[in-house]
Amino acid sequence: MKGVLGLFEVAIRRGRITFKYPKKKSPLPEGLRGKPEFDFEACIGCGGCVNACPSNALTLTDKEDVRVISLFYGRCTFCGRCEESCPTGAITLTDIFELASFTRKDLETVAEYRLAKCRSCGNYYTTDKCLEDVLSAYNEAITDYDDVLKNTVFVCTECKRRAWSEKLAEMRKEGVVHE
Amino acid sequence: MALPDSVEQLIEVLKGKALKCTRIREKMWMLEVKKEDLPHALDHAYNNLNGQFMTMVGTDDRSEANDFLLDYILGWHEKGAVVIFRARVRTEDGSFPSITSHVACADWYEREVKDFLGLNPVGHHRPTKLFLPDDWPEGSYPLRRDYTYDLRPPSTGKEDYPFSVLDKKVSVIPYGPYHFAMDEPMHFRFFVDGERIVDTDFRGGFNYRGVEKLAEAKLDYAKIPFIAERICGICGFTHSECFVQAIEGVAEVDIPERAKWIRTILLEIERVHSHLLWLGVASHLVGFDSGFMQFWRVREKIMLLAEMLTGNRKTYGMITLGGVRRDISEDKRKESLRLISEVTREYKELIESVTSLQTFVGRLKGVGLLSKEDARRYSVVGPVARGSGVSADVRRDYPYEAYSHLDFDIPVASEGDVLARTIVRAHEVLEALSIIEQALSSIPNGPVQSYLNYIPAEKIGVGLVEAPRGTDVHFVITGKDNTVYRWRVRAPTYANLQVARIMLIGHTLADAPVIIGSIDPCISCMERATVIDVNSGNERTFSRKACWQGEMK
Repeated sequence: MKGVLGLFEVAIRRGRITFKYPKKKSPLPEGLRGKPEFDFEACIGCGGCVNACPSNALTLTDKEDVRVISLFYGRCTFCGRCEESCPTGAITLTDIFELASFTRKDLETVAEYRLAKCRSCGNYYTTDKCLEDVLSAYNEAITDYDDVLKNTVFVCTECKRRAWSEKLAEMRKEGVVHE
Repeated sequence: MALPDSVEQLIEVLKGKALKCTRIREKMWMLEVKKEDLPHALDHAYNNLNGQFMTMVGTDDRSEANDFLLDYILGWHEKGAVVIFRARVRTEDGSFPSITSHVACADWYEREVKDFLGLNPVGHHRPTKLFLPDDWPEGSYPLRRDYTYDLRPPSTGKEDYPFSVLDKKVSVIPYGPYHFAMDEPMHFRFFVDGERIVDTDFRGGFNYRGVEKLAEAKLDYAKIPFIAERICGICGFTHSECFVQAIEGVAEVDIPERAKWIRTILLEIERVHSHLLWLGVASHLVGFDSGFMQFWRVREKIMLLAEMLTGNRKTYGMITLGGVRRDISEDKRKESLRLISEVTREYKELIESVTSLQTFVGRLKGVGLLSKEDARRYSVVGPVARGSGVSADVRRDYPYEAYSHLDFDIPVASEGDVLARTIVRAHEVLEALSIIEQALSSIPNGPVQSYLNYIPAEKIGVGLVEAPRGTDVHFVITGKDNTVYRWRVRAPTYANLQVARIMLIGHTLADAPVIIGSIDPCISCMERATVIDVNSGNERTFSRKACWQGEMK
């Protein structure tokens, strides 16, 4: 039907489709990307999610022997990259979407992790939990493990790099490796 | 002069003006010209050879070659070819010849280069600020590389934008940036004689937040699609698609077929929702609020469809380089087909009664006229161009993703008024619904993600996507270590809003909201939004009480 009557007819036939929202809620589809939540037990504090976060909602700061990973929902764009990048499945997107709050504090989740010292230089370099995670994997794979661990897992990247370059220089001196 | 038959011949004709001609990839060339030859070369390419002005990009290349790069990107829709004219401006020189006397639509682009790089367009008829605030200090140019991304220079304290002044005795009516009949932050100044608008002036830039600078300084390729999606709240997916297309062109990666089809489906879902939104807003602007309610009722189903397929109503977050992140399961595919047929039915019955409503049609007919010549002269895009009889659509002219496999029409109307633009959009909704249906019915099976190993540096990528509002152009120069060297976003509104003055002159003030609305302006698109760094101390928060007491100044 055309014209005003047509519109009138459509409006009446289709009826009211709005509802009183906070009292009644519409069903949410499976796989909705809502508020990301941490499982602090599973999280090892590696910072992979921080690297993946496009909007800087996840931040990482190392203060002496503590690593602070904070998630500020005010900046979160609910893309779900953190969920994809997490090696232990500690961060998941829930279907919670009502995040409005009067205080900023409600929008912040902060987790602190103890850092471990490098056995070579003594600087803090990774979290205790990260080490535990790595060690649990090593347990099965390697037999002569003390020796390997001393030079790999328990030292920081810089020390590892230095050790390797020193070793390389030595090998060159001995003529094992050429320039 | 007649247009050459093939792209090769076209390039032969243009080559005469160039120092160097390189073929970047299929159907994309770069011609390096001397800066002095720019007006002449572009006049020839634009006016004689009928090129479409797509974008102009200024790049600070001082660290590499002690000069600035100016890239003018022209397209030939009939041939699906893109030609980039590149000129170099020496640092100590700092000026370039303006081409606005030949290419009228270069106006804003040149002003933007002046704002952000400090290069002076010699011969520009009105080189005022475009995006930077009035109190921005001289000599502080945000897109130069020595300007850090989080620097905020102190205000000069002077707000002295030189608005145009008419000799005639007219009344001046300010319109925006906050106005009840305008949803977007822009400022128009109407010069009215009684009810008639005799001239207008425009000031934008209220929403500029520098996403390009942020991307160059802080982000890598994997993150930018997600930030690009936040450029616009309506057509965000188009921006991420466009960026990804530019990069994938550089990386020469093969995207899995299924991913292409899913991208196409989402692009069209976005078009349907955007056009329905616009039809609602246009109804609202002419005081037809039942139309507004009904269009948005139909639109809601599309939003639910998007939510089901992507996990979000808007900002789908589906695109990554090399594919999409979520597959469409068989259940979801069937459910989508059901929803689409429902929406098609509901939309048809609604549009039939609305387009026959004399009160609605009468308000739009003969209002906001844009002739075909002006549409061509200003290189307008999208429904604004198609409403003025210019048949241009990059989905057909530069086919991307799965569009070459799908069957669709490009609606064109020749009247050039607001009604024509409305009709074009109304038809496009049906076309888009049909595209979604076709794509969902014949989507091929397979993986949805392939991986890119290496993106070479110093290469040029151009992404062209038909957004609901018109052609979206992203220009990328790739950099080292997975970062962009230069990224320029040209949203369709950037091209279309420049003709608002032509549309408005001669019409009454009461029609101004719907004329401006008929462009479907999207300011955050045009001015490129970004995420604010809350930690850097640049943000201040205010209590509600403080807001009321007016402390927010």
